[in-house]
Amino acid sequence: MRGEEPDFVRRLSRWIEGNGSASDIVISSRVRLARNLKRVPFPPVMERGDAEEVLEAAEGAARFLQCRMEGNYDYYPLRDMTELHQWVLVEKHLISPQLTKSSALSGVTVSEDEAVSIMVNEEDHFRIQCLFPGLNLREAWETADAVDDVLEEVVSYAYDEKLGYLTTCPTNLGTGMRVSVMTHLPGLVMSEMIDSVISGLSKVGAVVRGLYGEGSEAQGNLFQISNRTTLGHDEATIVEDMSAVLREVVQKERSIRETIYRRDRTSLEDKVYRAHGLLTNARMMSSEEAMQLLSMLRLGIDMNILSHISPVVFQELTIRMRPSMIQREAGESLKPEQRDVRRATLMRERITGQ
Amino acid sequence: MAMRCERCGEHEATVRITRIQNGEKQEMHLCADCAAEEGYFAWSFEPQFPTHGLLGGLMEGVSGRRRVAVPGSTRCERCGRTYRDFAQTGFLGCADCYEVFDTAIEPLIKRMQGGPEHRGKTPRGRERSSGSQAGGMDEARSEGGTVSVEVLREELKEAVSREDYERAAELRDRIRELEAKDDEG
Repeated sequence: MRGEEPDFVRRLSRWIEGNGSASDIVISSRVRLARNLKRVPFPPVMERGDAEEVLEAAEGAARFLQCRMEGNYDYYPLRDMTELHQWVLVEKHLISPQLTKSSALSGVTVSEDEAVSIMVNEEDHFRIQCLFPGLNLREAWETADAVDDVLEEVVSYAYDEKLGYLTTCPTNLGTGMRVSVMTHLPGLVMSEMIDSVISGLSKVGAVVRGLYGEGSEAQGNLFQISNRTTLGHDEATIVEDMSAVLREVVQKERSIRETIYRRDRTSLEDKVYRAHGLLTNARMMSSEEAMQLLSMLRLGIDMNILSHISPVVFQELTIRMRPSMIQREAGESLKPEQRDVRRATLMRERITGQ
Repeated sequence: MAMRCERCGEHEATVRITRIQNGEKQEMHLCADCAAEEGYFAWSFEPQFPTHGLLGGLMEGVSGRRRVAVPGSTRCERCGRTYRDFAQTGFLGCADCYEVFDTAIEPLIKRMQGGPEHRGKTPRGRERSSGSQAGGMDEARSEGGTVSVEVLREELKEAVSREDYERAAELRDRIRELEAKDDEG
């Protein structure tokens, strides 16, 4: 069993191909619901028997989802998976790195299109997650809600009339809902407006996270925007408020891109074409360099400087360039330098082979 | 001199993680391996809120100000979790813990959540009774200040949509003040 290649290893998630609303700036929208079973202690204190009970419930729930929802749902206990396959799931954003740390007692259910994944025995018993392309929180919420309804038919949730769904950490209490939107904001970064936008967002209940490399630029100019509170407002309100906040961010990024293009078109084109040149000619490339160049390439595509490349190349390559994905495609484990060579090849072939 | 990774203390730190929350900037310097293990390269993944530090800090602040005395040894009979465990990790052990530690959790919720009561989805067969909703309304009225907080929240929303972040910050501060008063009262 262990080592056999599960289906998710070979396919790419469907959200990668999709073009949602505002997809020139918003890469993906995720809604996650935290749920726990009423009679079972939460993951931080549960014993093996408790964990097995939750895994069994999850397996049953997956069969039920298969009947009630469209498409296939597959349940996988992590202990039946190789470490590499677990990391493929992490790099595809279907499970958290944390889930792999307790792989003996954790599991995941994944829908065929990979829009839905349910982590089992992470921080909470169940974490229902729905990932859609572009800015589409409403559909992500509606899907999560439907999956939650089905699960609720087979399990009994820990729920309190006043406090809502009871979660391991009180930061998730109530709706148990965390909305996370991945945005690509190169314009705001280049114009050095990003800090003020981030602090503005933090004042309206949003949490922003960027990935920074050496120096001050966020890697790949990607920023994740999430709601801070989970209790006190209903799900629809959280979804609406966050969507409104995101629309503002999108508008700001779009207008700054236009300004940059108007004021300094040659310098912008230079950056884009240099990125394209490196991506299609380099023979070795680190993750960090690739992220930065892909961000410029994507900006060039979105601004019609490079019109012959599909924008989805960006999200596809930012996933396929990750160490475990590269090694999976190579079919062997590789040293960092070998990965850099394969990464450069992947970039060249995918971008020129359009 | 190269900086060491704050997590493993061995490798050179090559990744700087900056978080801004409630206007406060926090920085972490990690090596690439630790950053990956902490999930920072899983870029579309939800943020791992630093709940341990955050909750621990909040709990100290809250208990210091309000003198909520929950002995560290207070224990949930059902799962064995002590208050000390919770304060250190930010994690509760089971559904019953919410009752056992409620005097400590309540002020925590006021500080970090959007409201004291759940207004969202209810499990099927547990539709919220109209009585409970009416109770919520009464509570809002009797608190008096709640209504103006609601108005301020609306204004805040508008300020944000105008991108008037200065005004939004002002409003946010006033809402905080009012909520703090509610806390003490």
